[in-house]
Amino acid sequence: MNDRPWRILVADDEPVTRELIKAALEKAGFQVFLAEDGEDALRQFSDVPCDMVLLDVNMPGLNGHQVCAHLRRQLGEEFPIVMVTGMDDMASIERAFEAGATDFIAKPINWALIGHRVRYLFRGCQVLHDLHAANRRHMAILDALRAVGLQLSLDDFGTGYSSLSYLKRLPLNNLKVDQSFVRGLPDDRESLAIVRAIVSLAKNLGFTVTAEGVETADHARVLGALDCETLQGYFIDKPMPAEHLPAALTRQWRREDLS
Amino acid sequence: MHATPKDIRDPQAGPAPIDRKVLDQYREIDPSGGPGLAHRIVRIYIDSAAETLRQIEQAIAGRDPEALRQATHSLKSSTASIGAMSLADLFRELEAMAKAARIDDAAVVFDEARNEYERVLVALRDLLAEAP
Repeated sequence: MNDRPWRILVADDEPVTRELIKAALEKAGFQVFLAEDGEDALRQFSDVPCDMVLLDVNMPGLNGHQVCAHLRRQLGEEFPIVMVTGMDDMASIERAFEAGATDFIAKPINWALIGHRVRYLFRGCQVLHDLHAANRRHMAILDALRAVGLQLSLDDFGTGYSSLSYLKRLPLNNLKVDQSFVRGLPDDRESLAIVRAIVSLAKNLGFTVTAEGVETADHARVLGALDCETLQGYFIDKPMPAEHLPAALTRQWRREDLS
Repeated sequence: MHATPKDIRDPQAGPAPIDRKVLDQYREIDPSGGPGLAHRIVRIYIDSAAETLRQIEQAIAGRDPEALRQATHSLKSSTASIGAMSLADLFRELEAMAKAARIDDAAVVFDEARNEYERVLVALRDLLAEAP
């Protein structure tokens, strides 16, 4: 948003409430436009685009829910639409969210608070907008990395920030099983069950699986039996400078030839 | 704000028709912190309530519960906003009767509401006559 004050369109068929909302929001530094009913709100919005719409639910003609649904289709999911509705009317609050309302303000309106409430709503919408923009940017970067031939792995799967929803959202090639699950192998039943489940999940989604923290021959054997195709850890080798890698790989091949 | 004769409870007349505290809170959102907004709100109420009251009367005469509900809903909310709590309660009662399509009961309550409305109007005009 830029330097001009935020514009709010307020639709209420009841002139006293309309005037009070206008006064309260202007006091809080917003620019306010008033509409007398639903049709008037849609007309005014197409003339002067606003940054937020406040809709009374109970208006003759097009009611608040209908106006809300219409604006939501037109403006996309981020635009703040706030319903103003009676505290006692739970059904109308539920209908408001079905119609795509961002939030609701309960009547009787607290005049000292409404300005702050609207400011917080703007802030929340701005944060959400920035978050969506950042997500789109990050996805574009991941897609570009894959396009130049890199493979993408999700690290430490099963702990911390690695959520199942990433498996759907991110363009991954590989899952890395967190070492805390590998450490308990082969004796710990829970670890075994979790690793088996992660491997199966990865296969079903078309990803390869890497186990982290493989430190013993027992780890390697069990992971091989569980169909985990790549291993990482001290059992394979310690981290090393790049120039030592060819010799280490040669050693590795010899060891495999012997076994 | 000082007490006016209308604020003093008269056992014959029932509670004061207007709760001045409701109007006083509008000083907080008045551009200059004074009673200007409250007075403007009262004038808007006086100008618009008569028409809505007429709609209520017509809805009862025409036995139209939906028109009655819409009109009483709107008037209930603005009446509470100017601090006329007893009158707002009567409109709330009328709205509930409209939802239940109890038109005959509504006609009785409406008579009561009209009397209370006259008391409220007198109090509001007194309030506007005070120096701003």
